[in-house]
Amino acid sequence: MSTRMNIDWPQLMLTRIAAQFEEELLAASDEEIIAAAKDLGMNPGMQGSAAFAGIKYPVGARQLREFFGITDWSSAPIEAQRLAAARELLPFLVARARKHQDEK
Amino acid sequence: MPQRKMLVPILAETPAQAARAQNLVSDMDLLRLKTIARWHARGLPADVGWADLLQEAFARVLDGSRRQPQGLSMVVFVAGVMRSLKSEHWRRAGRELHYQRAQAAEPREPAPDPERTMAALQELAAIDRLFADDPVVLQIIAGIGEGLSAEQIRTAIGISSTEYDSARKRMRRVLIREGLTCRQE
Repeated sequence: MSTRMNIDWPQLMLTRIAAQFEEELLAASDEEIIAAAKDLGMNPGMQGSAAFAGIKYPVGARQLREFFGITDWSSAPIEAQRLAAARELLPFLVARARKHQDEK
Repeated sequence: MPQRKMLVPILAETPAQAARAQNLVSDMDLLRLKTIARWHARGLPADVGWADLLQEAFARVLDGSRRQPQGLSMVVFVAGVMRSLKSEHWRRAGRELHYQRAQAAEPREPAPDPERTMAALQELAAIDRLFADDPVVLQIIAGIGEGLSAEQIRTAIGISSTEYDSARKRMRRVLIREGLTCRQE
């Protein structure tokens, strides 16, 4: 098995799962959506329902940031730290996979 | 999407405004698409939100860059456009990574994309946490991830088709709830 295949499996798994989730959500009946909304205390039949947050009116942090012109309301620094950690970790994983492959 | 050109020939501030411009979908379909957009946006970088993804999809439909195939409902079509936009994002990110490596004269052997791998691992862990209380659903999801058919999954877990359908309903309800929740990423 190549190194690339060892590394790519999370993406492949996630792609398959996301495709199935999409199918499930497309197949969901109106009743199922209303029931799930009611579980959350939402009433999609009501004008301005929280269920429509982000689609009928902006509520996302990014949208609010754009509205108020505030630039530091962002998870970007956290994301940058996460990616930096990933960059440090990945060469180690690749080296280990190669070593494993060589041993085989 | 980071490098997007402006697409919609209307001033749309929300996906609903973009969609409503030509009465593309009903309110219930908008909710359906919201839940799907949230799932597709989870593997994307933090600066690309689900609303951006959904709005971009409507924009592509409205400006004609994506044409709806005959017989395909608008909601299925828009969901497909979102999926395609997500792939497009990763393809572009992959090309940039390749270019950077070429510039740095690094070896050209196929190498993994660390951002994408890490995002996928985090997302798989999040899915695990979401269904932690339902081991049957978790097993079904694991089977789906492995590329097994429904029949193969049922056989592997040892459940009847009624139990399988019932687990799928539970899964769907959690997915919808997660998609409708007010938490914004």
